[in-house]
Amino acid sequence: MLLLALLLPALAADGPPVPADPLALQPQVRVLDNGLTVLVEPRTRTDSVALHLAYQVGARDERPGELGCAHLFEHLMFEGSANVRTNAFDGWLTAAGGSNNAWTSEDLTAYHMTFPSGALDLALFLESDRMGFLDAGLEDDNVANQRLVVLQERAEGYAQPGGRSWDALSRLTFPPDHPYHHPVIGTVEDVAGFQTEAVRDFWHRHYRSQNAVLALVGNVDPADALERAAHWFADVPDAGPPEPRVTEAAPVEVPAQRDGLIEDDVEERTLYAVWHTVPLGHEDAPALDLLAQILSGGRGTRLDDRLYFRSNLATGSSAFHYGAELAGQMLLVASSPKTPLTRLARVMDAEVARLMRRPPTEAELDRARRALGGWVRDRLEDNASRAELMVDCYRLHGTPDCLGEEMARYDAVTPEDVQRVANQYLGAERRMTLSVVPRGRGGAMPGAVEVELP
Amino acid sequence: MRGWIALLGLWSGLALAEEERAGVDPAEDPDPEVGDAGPDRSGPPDVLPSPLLDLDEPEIHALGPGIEAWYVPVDGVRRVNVYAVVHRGMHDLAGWPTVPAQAMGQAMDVATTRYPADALSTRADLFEVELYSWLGHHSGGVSLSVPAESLGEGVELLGEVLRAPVFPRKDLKRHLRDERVRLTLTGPSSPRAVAHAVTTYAWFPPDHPYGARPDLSALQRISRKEVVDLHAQWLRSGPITLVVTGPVPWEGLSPHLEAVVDGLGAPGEPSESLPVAPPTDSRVLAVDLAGQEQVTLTLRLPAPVQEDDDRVAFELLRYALGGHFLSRLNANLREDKGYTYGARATYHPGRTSGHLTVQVDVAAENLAATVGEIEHEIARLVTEGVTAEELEWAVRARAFAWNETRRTADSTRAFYGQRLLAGERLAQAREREATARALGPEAVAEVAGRWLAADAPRQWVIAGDRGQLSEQLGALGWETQWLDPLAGYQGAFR
Repeated sequence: MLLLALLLPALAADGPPVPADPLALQPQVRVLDNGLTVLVEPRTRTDSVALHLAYQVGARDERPGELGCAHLFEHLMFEGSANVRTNAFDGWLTAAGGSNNAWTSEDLTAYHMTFPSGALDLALFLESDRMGFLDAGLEDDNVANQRLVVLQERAEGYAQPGGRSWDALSRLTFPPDHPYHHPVIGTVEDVAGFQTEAVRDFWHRHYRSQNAVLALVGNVDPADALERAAHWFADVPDAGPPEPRVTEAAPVEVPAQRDGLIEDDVEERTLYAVWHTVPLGHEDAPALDLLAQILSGGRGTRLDDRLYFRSNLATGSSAFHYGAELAGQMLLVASSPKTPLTRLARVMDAEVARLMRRPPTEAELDRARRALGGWVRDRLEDNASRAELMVDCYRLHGTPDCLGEEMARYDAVTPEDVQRVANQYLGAERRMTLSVVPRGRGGAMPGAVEVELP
Repeated sequence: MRGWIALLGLWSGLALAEEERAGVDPAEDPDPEVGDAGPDRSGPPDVLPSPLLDLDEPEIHALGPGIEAWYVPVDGVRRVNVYAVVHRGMHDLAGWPTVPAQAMGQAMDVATTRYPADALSTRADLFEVELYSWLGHHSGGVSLSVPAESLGEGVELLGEVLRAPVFPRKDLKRHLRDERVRLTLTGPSSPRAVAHAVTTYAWFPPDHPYGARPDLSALQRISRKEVVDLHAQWLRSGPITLVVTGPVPWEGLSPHLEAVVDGLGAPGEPSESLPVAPPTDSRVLAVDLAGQEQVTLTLRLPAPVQEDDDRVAFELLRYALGGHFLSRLNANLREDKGYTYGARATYHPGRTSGHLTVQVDVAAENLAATVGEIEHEIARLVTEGVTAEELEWAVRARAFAWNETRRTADSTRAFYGQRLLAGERLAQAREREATARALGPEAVAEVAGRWLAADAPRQWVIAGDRGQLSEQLGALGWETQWLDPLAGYQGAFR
């Protein structure tokens, strides 16, 4: 979600001057001989450096029988490579005072580190070694162990109230042959069955220098950092382009069974109302993002007021527009221990219908823009967030400096645009629902069928 | 996702002027490994250590009788932070946490005499103002974060919320309803929330203010007048400190801030923490969550308080035990055994009560084995101490966090705010870092022996399915006090 807020004029005579362009992300860029793109931006507020490395591989790239492999593989990227023994990755970085983590989504897998500037060579050594030479470090014991860890991760997540909701939504709303149908965590059967060779094959297919973008933001000299990156990745072979992936964002049909339910160890019922919308970068995405904020941006916004601040209908409500690379969804969510889900659904429908009949006010739209824009501008203060944003800009737009244009798209949204997208995407006939209800006590939406999570 | 691990500890660091650099100047650092020969992968490259950066004491400005500001300039950041702390809390107002006092802390930021609720919320959004209010046992206040270009608007709202909240009846009633829902429905259905609640209530007896149990009957109605009166009393009951960070010079801030606190506060000392007697006996409490395949396990032990000479060594011990990905607990229970997604240890050096808490989720079938491994790792700390390498890791992590203090106005405010609430000056924090660097394995091992010995009282809390756990608990030889989730979450036990 890439956003823009209007810059406010300086109001206090004693305040600092407003920056020329606080949205600018203008790193130095270099594409290495092996196809890895490296972005470097100096920021000397503190001594730290943030590294963000995204591989364009995610759950959507998994074949039948290897569901969950992208995420399992993310775990294995820390277990050692040709020149980094098991546990040394974390050990050496921790010894340097740094920290690291990673995450996997439907579309990509991202690795990030923060470390003192004096550990730059170490960070590049570690990333290059696992990019180029992971297979030499792949051991059956590590694969077996991380299978257990991933299955436990799934179990722990699912044991929390509502912990299965997101995965259930994917299975309900995307057809079985859609890349987003299966959860990122995979299935128990597939994860439990992963063997080392299959993992190695996954690495060969996807973890290639041409399939990755790396950013460094912090106390670095760009020219020096680029030279160091070129040095450390010099022996990482160019294995060619990655396995082709689906890039066409075809419209997603509403499933025939569009109301689902899961029973959970909860004391409240929760309703998720979902619509298929547009993928990341689509021309209608900004209007949909702003629509969600108009509905649920705190007190004084439509859905939050109707369900929570001006009534006792719900104990909580939210709306968000989630855009992934192949598809997007609008979600409205509300919970209550007493109010029937059908009543919550009627309120949601009524608020959507209001936006369909009449555009929001300029004041509502302005408030939504400022809220979302402020969030982006605050993120830009943080090295790690800047690194992530410029990698995403580069991946999706071919330039790291996309925020200005992206945010101009939000600035250009009119109230009529919001009304139009409400009518175009949020019709009642396109709505899907997931009911999360206490075990054995019913209360799901009529016609809802249980969603299985294998 | 790989894990939860983040550096547990203070994020503190030194802000640099735009033209300065901290640590190594990379452009001047000769690197013999960069060249035409290709990378040398025979071992990890050397890491050039960063010096521990100097942090300045805050500028202290008097704003009135009993009122002062701690000002820390932070150049090149977007926001100004003002953390307005009244050094009086629930205990000072009412002796014990009470529903009106809790409601007061929650609802100060809802509406004011000038701005009804909707208008306040809208105005805050328009100027990107973030405000929240709180009231704890011994202090309370309002926190403001605002872009520097909207300083006037932000401080105006801060003043409104601090001085003139109106506590709308509807919002007070909603607060009660939300509390009832939390205490009776959502809280008890969350294994982690239940385990956390039981751990806290078991640590502090019900007749101690820190262990005060919720009174559901008191959550049925609330007197707005009582809340308003409490607020008026609180606001002028004790000293006030503003912790102020950001890119605006003091001269540009002071007129705004003086207006915020004019006529408020009262000279005096900050409210003092109450004595707490640490437990002397071990106990095991379990919460029956029928049907749960997972078990949430916490272990709490007494630990050094804030001013204890053993504190710094214990912080290093905690890091080695469960403070990072390769800490002993996580390396054992996750990386070696595959029992858990993450095991961790936290340490709270309170002024009058200190504790170490271990927390982990595992499959029910692995409960006994996990208990054994946790005790094994603690015992190893006692018998073997920590290695020099583990100590160095802990010190490096602390140094990095220290050096990150001035990353943003908010991180700076957090650091100095913690100093304020701990009643300490920066010099004491610096001294702790120096102590950490000087401690050797032997000294740390001694501390482990003093606090983590086998006979140190242990408080275990287990939340899971009784049917799956009873046998294992019996095999451990534990006398277990079983609770249902409601009783556990509400502290309805001794």
